[in-house]
Amino acid sequence: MRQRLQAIFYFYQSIGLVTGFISLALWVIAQLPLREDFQRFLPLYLILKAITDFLLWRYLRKHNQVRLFFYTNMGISEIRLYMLAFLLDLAAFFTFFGIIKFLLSI
Amino acid sequence: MKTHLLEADSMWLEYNGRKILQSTYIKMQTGMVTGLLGRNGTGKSSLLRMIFGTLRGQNQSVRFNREYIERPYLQTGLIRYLPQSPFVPKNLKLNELCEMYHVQFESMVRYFPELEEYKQNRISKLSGGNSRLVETLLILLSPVQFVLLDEPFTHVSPLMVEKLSTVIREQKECKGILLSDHAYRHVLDLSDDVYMIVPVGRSVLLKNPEQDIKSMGYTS
Repeated sequence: MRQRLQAIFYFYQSIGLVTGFISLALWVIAQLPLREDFQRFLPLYLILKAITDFLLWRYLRKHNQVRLFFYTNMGISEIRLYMLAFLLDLAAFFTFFGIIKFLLSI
Repeated sequence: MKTHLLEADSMWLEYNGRKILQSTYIKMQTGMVTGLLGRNGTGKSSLLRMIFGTLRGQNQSVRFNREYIERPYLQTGLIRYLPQSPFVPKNLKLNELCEMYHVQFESMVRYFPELEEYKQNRISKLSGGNSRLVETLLILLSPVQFVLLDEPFTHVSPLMVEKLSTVIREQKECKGILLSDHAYRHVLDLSDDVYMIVPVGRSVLLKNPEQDIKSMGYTS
């Protein structure tokens, strides 16, 4: 189990820079919402993240499919790998958002 | 030791109406090496991926000890697959890789002492041949009952091929190995049973492999 989680974290690291940049770009484009406006931003953010992560998945599937065997050999299906990476991606953004909000409140 | 059986039956694969595999059957058994030969483009790699469970065809039935399993790779400790192309992330260190795959680094070094110095090295630091060797060992030494090897001798020096053959012979004592490679001489030497994929996508169990591959036009 620990090895599988390690592998999923490793996979997220390999795409995290790109997906993190997308999150940040969406937040900046929405004019850095922090309080009530964040509630309005959230649904749109989730939809756009789902779309961009899906497109990234399609791209990696097309150009780097053989790399997935590293994970399937560990019993991690492609769907599970991308779903967990997506959740990690969201968690990373909300952590970042929480830190920014905390810093601004000091 | 109890013998386990892995059968791939009725494997049918088509792409855009072009038949690749038609009702292909292959049987693997722990304690045996099963060879798989065939010309380029006859669907060997596709068959291996279908057995592994990552490629779905129009029809397939993979059975472990006569029981159907939908996606063998999801069964813990059942099967691992060595693809033709490099599949290991280059940034991982060799010892991290072994830990993730539950393979003892010492067991690799026992066969290939020259790998000792690379223990803390990232895969990207290894030569192409060593990198391929590590990937092959990683799969071969995995604690699973069956391994599927797609061209394990590619990019590997003749001396290493000899050593790898020793690993395969020793590992078959505790697992079933499906071996597909164009180095047919090695495949024939190592295999207990040999299947040939013939046009269009049918498997034939060879009774006299040396003669049969000649008569089927695989060798001259």
